[in-house]
Amino acid sequence: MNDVVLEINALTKKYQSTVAVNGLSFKVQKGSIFGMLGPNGSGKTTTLGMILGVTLPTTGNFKWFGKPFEASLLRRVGAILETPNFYPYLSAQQNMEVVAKIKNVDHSAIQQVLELVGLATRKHDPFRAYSLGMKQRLAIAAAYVNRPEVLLLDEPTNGLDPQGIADVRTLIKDIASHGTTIILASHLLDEVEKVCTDAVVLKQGTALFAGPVKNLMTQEMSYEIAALDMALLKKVILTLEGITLVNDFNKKLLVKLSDGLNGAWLNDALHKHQVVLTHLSEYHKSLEKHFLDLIK
Amino acid sequence: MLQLLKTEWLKLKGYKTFWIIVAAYAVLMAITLFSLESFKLNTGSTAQPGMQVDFKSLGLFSFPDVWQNLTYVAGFFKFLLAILIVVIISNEYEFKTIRQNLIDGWSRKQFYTAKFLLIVALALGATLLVMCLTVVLGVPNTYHITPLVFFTRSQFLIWFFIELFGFLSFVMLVTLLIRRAAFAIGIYLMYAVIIEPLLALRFDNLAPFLPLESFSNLIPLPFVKIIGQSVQTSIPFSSIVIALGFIVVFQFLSYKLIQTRDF
Repeated sequence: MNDVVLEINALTKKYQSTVAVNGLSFKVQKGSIFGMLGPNGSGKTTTLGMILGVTLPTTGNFKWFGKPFEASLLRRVGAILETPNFYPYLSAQQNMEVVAKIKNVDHSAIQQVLELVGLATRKHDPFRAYSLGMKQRLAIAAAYVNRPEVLLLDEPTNGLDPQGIADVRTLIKDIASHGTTIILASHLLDEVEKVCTDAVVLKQGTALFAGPVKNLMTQEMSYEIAALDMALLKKVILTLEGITLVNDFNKKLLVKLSDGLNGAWLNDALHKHQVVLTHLSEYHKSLEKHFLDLIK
Repeated sequence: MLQLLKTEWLKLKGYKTFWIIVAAYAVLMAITLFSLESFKLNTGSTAQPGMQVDFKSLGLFSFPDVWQNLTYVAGFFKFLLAILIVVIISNEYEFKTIRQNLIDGWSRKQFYTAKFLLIVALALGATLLVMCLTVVLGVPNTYHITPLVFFTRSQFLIWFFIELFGFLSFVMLVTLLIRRAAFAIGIYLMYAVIIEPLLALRFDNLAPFLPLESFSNLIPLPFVKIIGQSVQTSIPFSSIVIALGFIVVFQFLSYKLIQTRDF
């Protein structure tokens, strides 16, 4: 399995009173944009901390590029965990020199990556004088300075203004278009929906879902229906096979169909039972709604 | 190894506080040692001149005595370097740069080694500075200088290095443990100024086995010569062993702490 960049097996982190991550397992394929979705406190950052070697797992293990963890493998991964961490009294250039030294890359790579994130003209300003958006962009520059195979970003647009969010998203897409695998942790579903190809959904340290984002969207086919005689409609629905009543909205019903069944079949089946529909529509759950249902 | 030290240098060379403390250390020490040279203590009054105590004419600045005298006085300034180490290490926690160093690809062992080397480099630099000051002050004050006279008791430079390195190792461990600069300095002062002196006072026999005491013991007080007492110019082998033992313990605990903690 050469195309798996990250494999996590039954990873668990216990603190004195809580279990932050509980037996978590998933894989990240090379070239994918992998989302880690979960509300605050769901174990995202703890998980990232463990795979980045800063948090020690209680049990379980993980492999980067098919190899058991060792620090030097992280040179192939560029990562931002929570906040941009730099020496505030050093300039952007000086901070980048520290990072380049640790990652074993030549200083000449710095200028190019600072240009990429639009900080080349401000590179001699001290980090502490930077705006949040600039700090975030510098963090991306630092993570990307040696063109890593994997870029791991934790809440990269957190706290940014709309322009900052747009800039960072464009940057991520630019980088991804060069074939870099991206792991993106976020509680912004919209972000994951727009950007990611695969995702894991976390709640209280366990995975509720792991797989392609399109499966997360279409796990089930649901329809909203209504008829002139709602009582009859409901009675028929309860007797038919392959249909589950999900919700009774009073004027409309929400039903779920078994795999392979669709709206045409539903309409036909009801018609055979003398029910005439006045309303039939595919019910598209937004990812957000789906996500909220998942973590409920 | 050299790469680790170079990285530490990149972190520090643009840090104003680092330069201020290093400059304060060098300048204050030089001023103090030079003014000691011209120090004259008059036991009488102006009207009735009594005995004059003149450090220079007592030979305190002549080789070989000058090695012990100056390394002893220079030892007082280690507190400035202690503050520097507290600031440097607590910064790594405060700005979460220790976390970023690990994320960027340093192992925990490399982070520890970098700080270990930084302390070695600081202690070496300070020792070199003391050596230069000793030569500058000692050579003009020595009547007849020969290599033998010059090198006799120059081992006090080694004891100075061990004293400083041990002391900074202690401070490194305290800061790694406490993380916050203010608390680390507080805890350190409480231990150095209250706890250890009290222990030493209460249990006489224990004194040589207390860490800070064991480091200070490497350079015995030389100025008793002024009042005509004989100076202890050599130290027992056991003092060196105890001091080195504490250094090994402090460094090992620092290493273990970095290995086993979440950042």
